[in-house]
Amino acid sequence: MSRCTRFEDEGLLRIERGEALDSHFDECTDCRHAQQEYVRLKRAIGSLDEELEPSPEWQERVLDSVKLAGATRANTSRWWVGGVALAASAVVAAVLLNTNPGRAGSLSHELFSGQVAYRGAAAKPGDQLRLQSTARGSRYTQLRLYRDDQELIFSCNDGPPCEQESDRIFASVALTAFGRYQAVLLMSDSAIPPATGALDHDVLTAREAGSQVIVGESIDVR
Amino acid sequence: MWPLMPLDETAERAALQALDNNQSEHALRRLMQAYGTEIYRFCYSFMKNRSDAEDMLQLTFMQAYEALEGHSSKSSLRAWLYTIARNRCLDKLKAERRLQTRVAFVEEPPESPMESGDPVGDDQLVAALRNCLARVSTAVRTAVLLRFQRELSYPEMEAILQESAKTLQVRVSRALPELHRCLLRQGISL
Repeated sequence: MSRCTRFEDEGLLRIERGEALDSHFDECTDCRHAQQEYVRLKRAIGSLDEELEPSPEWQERVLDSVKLAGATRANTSRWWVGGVALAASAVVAAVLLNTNPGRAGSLSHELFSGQVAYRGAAAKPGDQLRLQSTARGSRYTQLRLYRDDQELIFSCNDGPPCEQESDRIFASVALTAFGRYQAVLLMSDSAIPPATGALDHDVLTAREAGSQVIVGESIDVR
Repeated sequence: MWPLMPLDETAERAALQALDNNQSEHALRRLMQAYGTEIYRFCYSFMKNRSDAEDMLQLTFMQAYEALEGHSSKSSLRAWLYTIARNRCLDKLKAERRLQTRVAFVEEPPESPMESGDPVGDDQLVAALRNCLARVSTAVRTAVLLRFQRELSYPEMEAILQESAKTLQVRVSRALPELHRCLLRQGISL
């Protein structure tokens, strides 16, 4: 005689839906046994990774970064268009906090249609992309923008379209062509390998050379 | 029953009160103390390594700080933090996949069948279960862990995962037999 699988077929879903089980599940030996097995399974899932704890200093790092981002934002509002709507707060797209507290970086973007800023990762041709990055504790820094993983739009730190201010780099560029745009921030204590235009290759080469790489949120222009 | 991890109502109230008093940093501190560890473990379930999980944890709370003042008190801060963490982890995984397409997200560990009938200790069960969870999709793993590890309700999961409760209930109830069968293949009987 084959084993009754009604508990697996039906009982588990009923329990997840918060519905009562009918008398079959009490009377059927197979179903009672299955219930016990799944109680143990759920308990085991509940006990997974109980030992995992973040490092003791993580909260301090967050607070440090929040203060740093606040200072960056204050300076950015002066650097960028003064009349931009205040409601357009910066979107933090990517932040990497190294376990080495001496080095920290962030990369964020804002999108503008005319003077109106908006959130998100989708833009229309002609919209303006404004990037801001912070690289603390690195000797060499480069901010790059790629399109469709194959075309380098720019790579800079102090020349156009980049502008450097202390440990921050800003860049502003019009998104004139369709495609997926990807900003990348590279930080290193040694020279950063030059960009070839191929995003994957450039990032892997830079990482192999010891650079710290932050890949921003991609922006689709369509 | 396994230990419950309920909503920390004291922390939620304290954080909301701090926000009312324009003390965002104080609110952030309360939330980090109350939910930091569980959000870290949640991030770990996505990232599968401690370093990335901690990066995502920090990023979650930084982004939360940016948006704290606009948070609606209608939803729990805890569920809102989970939503941010999920989105940040998925963004990170997408970026990693684009850059390392040849490397699978989950490196499938080899199955190591044990002798059927051996007494199974909790450590063996947990190790085998971790192995099995690594084999299911991210969507299934996340739903199962939110339900049984984080003890979230389906309405909370619905808000975090942006999928209907009914879909999640079906996904979880189908995942359990799948995990059970995976354990059996490794010689683990419950």
